[in-house]
Amino acid sequence: MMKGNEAIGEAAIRAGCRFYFGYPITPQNELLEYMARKLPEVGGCFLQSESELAGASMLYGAAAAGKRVMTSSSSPGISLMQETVSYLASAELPAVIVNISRGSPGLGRITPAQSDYNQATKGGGHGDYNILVFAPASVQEMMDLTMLAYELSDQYRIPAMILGDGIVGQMMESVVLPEPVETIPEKSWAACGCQGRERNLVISAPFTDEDLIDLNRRLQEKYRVIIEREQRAEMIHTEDAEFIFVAFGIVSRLAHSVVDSLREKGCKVGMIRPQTLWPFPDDAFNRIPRAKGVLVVEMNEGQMLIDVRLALNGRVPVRHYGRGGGWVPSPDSIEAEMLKLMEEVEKNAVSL
Amino acid sequence: MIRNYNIAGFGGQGILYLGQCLAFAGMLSGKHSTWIPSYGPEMRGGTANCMVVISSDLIRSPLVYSSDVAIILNQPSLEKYGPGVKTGGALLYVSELACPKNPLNGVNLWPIPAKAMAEELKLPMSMNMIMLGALLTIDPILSVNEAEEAIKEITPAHRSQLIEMNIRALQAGREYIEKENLAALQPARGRGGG
Repeated sequence: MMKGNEAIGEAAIRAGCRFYFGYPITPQNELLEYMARKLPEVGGCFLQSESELAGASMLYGAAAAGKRVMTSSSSPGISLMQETVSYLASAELPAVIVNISRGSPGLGRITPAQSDYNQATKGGGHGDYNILVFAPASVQEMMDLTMLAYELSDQYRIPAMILGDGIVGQMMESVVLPEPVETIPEKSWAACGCQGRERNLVISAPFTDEDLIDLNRRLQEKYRVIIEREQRAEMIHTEDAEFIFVAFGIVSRLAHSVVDSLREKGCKVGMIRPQTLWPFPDDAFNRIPRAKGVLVVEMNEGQMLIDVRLALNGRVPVRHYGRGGGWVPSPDSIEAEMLKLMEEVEKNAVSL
Repeated sequence: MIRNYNIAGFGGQGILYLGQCLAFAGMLSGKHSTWIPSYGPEMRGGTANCMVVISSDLIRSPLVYSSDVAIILNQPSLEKYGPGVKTGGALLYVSELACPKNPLNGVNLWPIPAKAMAEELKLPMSMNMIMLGALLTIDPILSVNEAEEAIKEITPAHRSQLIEMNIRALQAGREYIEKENLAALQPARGRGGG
């Protein structure tokens, strides 16, 4: 058994990450501590930076040298890193950033939250860019999606984020350890010493106006490919479901228990559980043929809600149940919200 | 089979460790288990609690809203978690440190004199393990042996001297329930959680 935070650290090491930079903040400290303990054992470098800004910049440096790297923090610390995330996106550098998010805005509190959805999926820093965003719902997925994050981050030369919350970070569950990655793909673009070859440049500021416009075009082309290929979602009883939850992370597990209990009562309910938040699994919403109503449950004031509405494009009524600031919904209250939606739809009293 | 546990007491009583032993033992027995600690400043004193779920099926919610079993090591925790025990569930508490003030209808009460027992063992810090030994004798979904294995597995190497002490305390909890012949009453009186 491992804590979710530790599972991310173990997966990172198994994926070949040898450089970690970060600054402590609850509720993700076990990850930093794990890396401090384990990275020296495998010849890696753990460095506790003087701030999140510095840590993120160190991450940029090691990523530019072609190494697999990680930083982690929680909401306010992730905000501090956003300048560098934009630079990483611009320089097309692979890097894995972990946000075990907490109650916000501001400094907030250490309670679990999902209020960083917009920041994570809509860029977060300045500029027209996206990063891969993964939403693990179990300790096993903390491992598996971290492994995947390294793979895809390298493949597309794009930063990737693991977006968890205080509960999946702190909880312990049994895990099956993934096989370590044997060979990391060669990075011909890396700035790691150019003896015997032309020098490589890794830059986040193109030299001409045209170059920057070209870079933007290239990024958008890359994002289009990623949107086409890398959407991931778990579909639960969606083939015959008339009423569908959409939930990610810890909330999806609470909603899943409600799916079980409503199914026992004979209600045709199901769930779409996004595992990637960017790219958002739009395609999943084309595979709910019987849907009469959708309930988005999230620990924020309605952020993923917008993406669900866009994916459905008015085809099915959508309701939201959620609150920010560290609030966690109980399964009973989730069930009550779904029953309310079902009643509204049956009475034909629902508008889009 | 599923059990939801709330475990609570003061920081320093080994509440989180008790929960970890239980959850690990669940895993060692081939079941699914989850453990969630309170992760705030409680670690430095004040109240501490954790939630454990053990199930033969995949666990949906690792959060415990109403418990099959509560294990309570102080009065404030009893007041907080006692009312959350399901009808037919079990409330185990250290009888010298906690006492139900209001009736808890339909809940099986298990007062355990763990403080006196720990003093008798000359292991004053071992109330947590006494309670675990008692729990697994009252509601044997896992064996005390599996808990022993869990203790061996999760105790860090630099504290290995604690293993033997913890196992002694675990056995004392088991013997207390057996000697009092309390566990034998279980089926007739519907004890032991939902």
